[in-house]
Amino acid sequence: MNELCNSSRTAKLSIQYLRYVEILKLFIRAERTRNWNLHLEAVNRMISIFAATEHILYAKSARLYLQNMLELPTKYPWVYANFSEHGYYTVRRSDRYWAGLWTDLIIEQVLMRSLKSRGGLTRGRGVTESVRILWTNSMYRCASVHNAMSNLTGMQHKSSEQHVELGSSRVKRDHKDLVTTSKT
Amino acid sequence: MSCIYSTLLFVIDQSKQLRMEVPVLTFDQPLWHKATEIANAMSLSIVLILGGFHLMMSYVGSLGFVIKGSGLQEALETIYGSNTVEHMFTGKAIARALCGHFLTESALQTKLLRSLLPAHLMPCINESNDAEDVPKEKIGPNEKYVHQDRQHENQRPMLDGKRYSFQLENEQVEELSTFVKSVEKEPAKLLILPEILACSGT
Repeated sequence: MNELCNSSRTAKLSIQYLRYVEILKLFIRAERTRNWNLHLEAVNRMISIFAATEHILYAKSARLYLQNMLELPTKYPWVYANFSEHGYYTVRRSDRYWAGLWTDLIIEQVLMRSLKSRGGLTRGRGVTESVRILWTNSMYRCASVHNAMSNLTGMQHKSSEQHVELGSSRVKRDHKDLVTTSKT
Repeated sequence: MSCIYSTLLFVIDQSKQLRMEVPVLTFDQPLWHKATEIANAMSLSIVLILGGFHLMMSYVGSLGFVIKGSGLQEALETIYGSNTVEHMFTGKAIARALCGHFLTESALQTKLLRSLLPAHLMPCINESNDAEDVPKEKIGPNEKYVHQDRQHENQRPMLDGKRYSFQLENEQVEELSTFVKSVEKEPAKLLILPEILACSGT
């Protein structure tokens, strides 16, 4: 690999690109499999790339974030135990192994959508304390009601055991795209 | 500023009511920065997490910045539209960006593999109708590797205008060749290629 790197500039760029994509994959894997140490390691590697590509704000914030998180074992051991042993820094909406999700993604997609749409908190119901408590405590019950209703009306989403990207048609299409890209 | 401060105080208050030791909040980058400053200044007992998804989006944007102008845009335009590719490189269309980057990575790794392995071991991973395909031959004893290497030397794919030949140990060759054969049946295995290459000491 090192020989290749030193041979030409295009090769160097390609190998560098491969290494960068690997960091991305590490980060995703850390989140999906609730691996706190891998998460910190991936953020660590990302910092230098943020700095090199003008994302200065993220470089600064990620560095500070990493520093704070490395102090967790001494400062907040309860939180650290939860993060590293149980992986509670991700959100899991289903029971599968590869299904950890980022908290900010969930906030944006689930909470904001339910809060701001019709019947939500900001339109019509109000955001007083009593309504809020009622809302949060009843959300999980509402979910089972929603489930039952979808079953009744036959509009249930069916999700298979396999990940959506591993279905054979997706694999075939990805393969075809790969061929086209390789030829370029 | 005061809005963030009152949010933090509110969350701490709620966590006390729920008898939780330390609350954990997630913020996006600009808010996180301000919230951390406030929390440190007022010594609040709260853990603030930087939103991972936005971090990833920004990282994909960095990736696009690094690879801009190298011709990857044209390569991806054979599959996606030009507007989509632009959005992919800035990190906006995240699902497609991920797909696109992983695809390029697989394509690059396939090329790398083709130059690493002795030519007679290369199965047709991706080009089924390619006239340049090297005919598959059975793995014979050690002498055959060297002999067939020389025979197929000129049919080795060119990487960046030069032909490379790397000498791998026999165990490494076998490991790589079993891996490559398994990839024929399950293309998704290409995703773990970096680990394989690292293990085989390349």
